Amino acid sequence: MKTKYIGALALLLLACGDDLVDGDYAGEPRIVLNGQIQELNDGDPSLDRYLTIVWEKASGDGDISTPQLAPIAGANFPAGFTLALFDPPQRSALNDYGDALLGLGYIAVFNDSDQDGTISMSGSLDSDTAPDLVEGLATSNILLYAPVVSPELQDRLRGGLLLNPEALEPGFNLTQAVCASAQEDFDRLRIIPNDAPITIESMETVLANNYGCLNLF
Amino acid sequence: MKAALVALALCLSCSALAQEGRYALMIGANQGDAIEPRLRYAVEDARRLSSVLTSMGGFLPENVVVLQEPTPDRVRDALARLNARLRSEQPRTSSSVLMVFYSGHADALALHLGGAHLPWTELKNLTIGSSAAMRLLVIDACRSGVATRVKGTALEAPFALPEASSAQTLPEGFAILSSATAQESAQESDALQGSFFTHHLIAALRGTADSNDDGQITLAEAYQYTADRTVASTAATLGGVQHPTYLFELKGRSGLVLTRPGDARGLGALRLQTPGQYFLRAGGPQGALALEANVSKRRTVHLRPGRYFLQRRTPRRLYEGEVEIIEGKTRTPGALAAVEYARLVRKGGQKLALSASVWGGTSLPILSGFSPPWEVALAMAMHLRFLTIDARVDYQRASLNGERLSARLQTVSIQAGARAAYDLGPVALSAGLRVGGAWIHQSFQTDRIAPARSRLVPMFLGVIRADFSIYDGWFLGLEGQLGTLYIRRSAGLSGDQASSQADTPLLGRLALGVGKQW
Repeated sequence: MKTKYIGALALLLLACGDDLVDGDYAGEPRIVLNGQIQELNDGDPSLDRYLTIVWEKASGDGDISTPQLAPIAGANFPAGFTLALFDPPQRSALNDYGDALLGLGYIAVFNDSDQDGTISMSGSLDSDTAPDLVEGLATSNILLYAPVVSPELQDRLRGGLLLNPEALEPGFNLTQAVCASAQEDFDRLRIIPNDAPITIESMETVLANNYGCLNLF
Repeated sequence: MKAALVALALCLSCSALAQEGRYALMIGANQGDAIEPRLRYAVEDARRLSSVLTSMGGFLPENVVVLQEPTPDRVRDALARLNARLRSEQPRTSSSVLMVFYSGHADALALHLGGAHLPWTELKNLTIGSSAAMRLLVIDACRSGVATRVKGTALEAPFALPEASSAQTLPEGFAILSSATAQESAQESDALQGSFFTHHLIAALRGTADSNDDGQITLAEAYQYTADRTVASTAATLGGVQHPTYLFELKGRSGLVLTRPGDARGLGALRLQTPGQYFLRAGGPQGALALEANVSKRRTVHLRPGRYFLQRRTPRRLYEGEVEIIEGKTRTPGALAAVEYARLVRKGGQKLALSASVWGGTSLPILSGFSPPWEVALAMAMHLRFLTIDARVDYQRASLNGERLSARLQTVSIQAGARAAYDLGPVALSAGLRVGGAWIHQSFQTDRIAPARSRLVPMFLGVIRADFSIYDGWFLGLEGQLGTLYIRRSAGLSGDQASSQADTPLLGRLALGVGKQW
């Protein structure tokens, strides 16, 4: 009888509670993007390449990238990737509609030519001028960020950018690009589960396909 | 002139006992009947008592017969010869003393001498029937109260006999002292290295029984002290309390002086001024026990010259030191070192001591990236003779300061265990094991999502410790712990993509403490 109590106490001590974390703990990611890189542009293999989110400002203030990067190792593709985002995008990266804020992020691989650990662009994603060049892009997925989801925001997106604005949640939302029908001028987005796989293609392929279904504006 | 008279008086008194014609038959028999366990100290009891009688009791060595493991016929023969010598050497009108002492096995009917029996009545009649003016029969054996016919009574109030004086007339008659009642067993003590009764009788005759501090030990004083100490020291034994008994049929003007310790030649004196229980061992702490005495007021005891290890025990402390006994001189114990509390328990002077202490220290971090934690603890211990059992409650705190995230790691643990302690001079070293449980709580300060985490874990530790006595039970401690605990860590990305890994990190602690024993 005593053995049973001791055994139960031992099991309680061994099994009771949360897993602890070490000093390399960065917090809980708000979203983890997984997928596969099919291929990238031929770039300088000696330079570091990173996966990042480039937030597009509709006002044309210039694209802003998130400081969170996932290094791309090796040159053998296709290769899997994982990008964990712990922080929301800075406010300046979001589009301000007056009554709502919404971030629209491209999932891109860039070549860090200036070795500053972030994408430094001039002009558009397909610019071929220095300093950093985009070598790959997910053309089927866009990452949205909404600090707050209000009825006004959903109304604004309904019939426009989003096919299913009611699925929009506060925080990060992964979307799939939906090509425009013959009657529509622009491609649209559909919110999908955040853990859906993402495919990244080389910019050469992206340009050859005219950005696929990413003609949103 | 005055000095000469004093010297003459001393000379007369020191030979007064010898002039009385004192004879003794000392019988010691370790082996009783075949079914009885062999005693260890009966023969030695007889020998030690005979030594006291010849050194300070006025018994001439040629008048003391010591029989070791005798047959009944040898006893009869020895007693008959002594009585014959008494009749021829001592005129009827002179003062003469015959003392017969027996230590060994017995029952209500007879002494047991190596499988043969000598009836009580015969021994008693041979002794009482002697021509000596004063006949004394002392018996240290089971059921010996049958000789006095005293059964199962508590110790009576001290009886009064006339004070002995230097110009005394020896009382006439007989006295019987027995170590136990007719229903009780008489016991030996390994700690005293003798039987309880004879040990205390010897201590009494050496001077501890001198209640009026007149330098002589009377039969009444010797019996009173011996009976008191025998009852006290057998009260907690397995064999049960032992009540010595007496039978006196005396007439005269004064009591029987058994010894004059102050006049003994070849001995030195030790003046015990402070009340307590004293133990003197010849040569050193492991030497033979020379004297054990319970002193309630100032006493002088007489011992052979030499170096002795002295212990004085009080209920809470033990005092130890060495003393040199010099022939013809009176010494007092010098400064004695105090042995307290847990040390006293380990020496067997007390059953239990307790202690409480507070500790502060640091340890190795159990999770990488965190600073070495500081800690405080409260500990309690129970000190037994061969083991110290302790319990401890600890609180630890460590921190981590990252670029985007700060964290705090708090641990509350409870441990219990046991240590074996060894006294090395002023330091008590101990080593042992502890087991316990800890509740570990991680909290984060960040604008990222980082919920707090808690876990209950088991822990196992080895302990090594040094305690330094300060004063009056206070001590300083230095303790090191080395062990491990069982945790589970989240590895890789957190959330659904994290994996759980078991880990047993090294747990190393160092702490300083202060505490009190009682």
